[in-house]
Amino acid sequence: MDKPSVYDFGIDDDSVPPIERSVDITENVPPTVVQRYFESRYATNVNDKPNQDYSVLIHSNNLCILSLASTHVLMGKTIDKIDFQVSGNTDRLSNNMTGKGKRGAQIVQAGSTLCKVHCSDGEEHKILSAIPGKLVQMNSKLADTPNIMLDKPDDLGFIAIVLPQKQRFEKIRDGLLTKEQYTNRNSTV
Amino acid sequence: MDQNVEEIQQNLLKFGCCRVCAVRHLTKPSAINVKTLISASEQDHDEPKRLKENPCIACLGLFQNPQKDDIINKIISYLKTSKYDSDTFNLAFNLPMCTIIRGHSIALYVSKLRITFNPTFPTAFVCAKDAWKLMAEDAIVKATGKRFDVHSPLLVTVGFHYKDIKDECDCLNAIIKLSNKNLQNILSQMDNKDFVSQYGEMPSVPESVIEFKSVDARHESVYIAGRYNKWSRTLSQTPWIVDQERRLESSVEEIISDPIKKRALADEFKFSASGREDIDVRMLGRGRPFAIELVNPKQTKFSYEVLREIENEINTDPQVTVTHLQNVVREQLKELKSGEEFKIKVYKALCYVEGELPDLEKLNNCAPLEILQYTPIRVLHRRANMVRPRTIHSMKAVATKVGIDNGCSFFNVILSTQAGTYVKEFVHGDFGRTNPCLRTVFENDTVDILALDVLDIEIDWPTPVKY
Repeated sequence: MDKPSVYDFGIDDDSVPPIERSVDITENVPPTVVQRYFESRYATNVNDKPNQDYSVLIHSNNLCILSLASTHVLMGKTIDKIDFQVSGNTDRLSNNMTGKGKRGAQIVQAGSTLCKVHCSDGEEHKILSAIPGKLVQMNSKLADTPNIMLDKPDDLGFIAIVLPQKQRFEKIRDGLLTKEQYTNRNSTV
Repeated sequence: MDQNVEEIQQNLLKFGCCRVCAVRHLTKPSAINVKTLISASEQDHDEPKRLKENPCIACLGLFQNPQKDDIINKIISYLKTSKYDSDTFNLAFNLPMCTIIRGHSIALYVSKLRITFNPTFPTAFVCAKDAWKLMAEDAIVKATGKRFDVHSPLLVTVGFHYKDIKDECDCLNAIIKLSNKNLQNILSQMDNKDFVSQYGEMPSVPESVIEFKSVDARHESVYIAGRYNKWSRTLSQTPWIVDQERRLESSVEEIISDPIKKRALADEFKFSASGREDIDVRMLGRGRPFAIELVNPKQTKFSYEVLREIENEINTDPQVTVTHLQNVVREQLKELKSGEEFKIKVYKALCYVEGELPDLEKLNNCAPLEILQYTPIRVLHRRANMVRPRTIHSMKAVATKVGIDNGCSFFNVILSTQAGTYVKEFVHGDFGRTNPCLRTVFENDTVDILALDVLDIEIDWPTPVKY
């Protein structure tokens, strides 16, 4: 990457700390993307159904990433197929929207069905939205590789990205369990 | 000259025209001579008795004193106190509509009487503003030291007030819709008979005099360009404001603009750059090209020395360094904007994995690499959700140490990418929404990024300054 020398402007390169010394690195493993930018919240027994438990990762820009919580009823099972046609005229994978305002995006309520899961043991489970808002993106990878939803829930296997209405955001967030509350609940069950 | 020019001129004077207007109405625009106008004016003012009778039926007193000298003095004192450093100036007059109508009426009258002229066309004549500028030019130039130039970037606009404007326009408004724009065209398309029947053979003798209302000026935008480095990981490029609240105290834009603002005394500053880096990303190497548009600047002359002075002042801030600061013209900004979309950017990313270092050769061997990138979650709230193809032109990973043993292995990746590639997401994959990414290349879900530097924006702009 030799640059024309005409652009040299006499900044003493030694005065710029090398990248390794330009950030604080602690004795601990550095925080992951999720830990850096997201607040971890939980919704349990959605629609009053036992173990309909979801993780909600809230980004600092209010976007929410929904995924299965470790106590979700599906954990430990094997998924055969996921069906995104949740009703006669709603297909979660054909969710067309335009522009930064996401006009035309499907609207979901807390408890709306996001998809239907067929398990290898013959059981069928609905995946529910933990919060209300605009469905910004359904994870289409789940169609081909459904089990990433169980194996990598807070990463490749997220379910959907939902944007809550701005005015209702704080109320929605405060209605969810904090990580601490969720952990305590699990240890007392 | 036609033989009856003198006779028509006398008629105009009788109708209540000032001598300057009588002369300009009988002169072709191409044949105008300042001396003729000035001598007409002097002649007028030597006969104060006649003057006191009425404001001129053509100019409403624009060429008559005390208005004429008063307006000239207002312009001079405005230019002297307003701090514009332009060597030249241009003048614009916002004359009341009725002066145009009056001019048209007289032109029709003149063409009817002139023997060699087509009586149906209004005669071409020197319009009031042009004649006024010609006469006033010398005095303004002498007093301000600024040259008059129709192409000057500094336009001085003079506004006027005339009490009876409404009554005078209303009689025509009845048959045609008048507007300030293209008034001349509207009038010339009108049937002459219609015009005369509504307006009369000659303009009426005005009861009031045109008055000075305002003088204002505007200088064309001036552009200053350069390249900036950002050494801080806690500084945004532009002010970071969420819901009207500032999140960070300063910004690159403000650090650069403030010392320029102080000197340029402009109304507005518009900062633009070849793309932008995140708050926590440093801009190293030869820096990022940027430009600032100074809107209506008063001070526009930035000499080599002044520019170095501004650089030094900006560079006292340890977070930013500006180099190659220079004047540019509007046309040169295209280069800057094209860089945002088309030019290659070079980055250095400090990455890590938990546990052992992966085989870095895997990465080094896969460039160039075509990736598909969904709008990153961190900007998805304010941009459309789209998937974009991007090219990683080259990649080179090198193991490094950070002096801490936390069970992780560290490596630096130097990569050159197509403009618009989100590099952080290319490292960790953004929940699988950027694919492939370093996690998929190394088949390791713990790959992540700790720090990012921009090493270069591959645009040779603006022209290097010799230091």
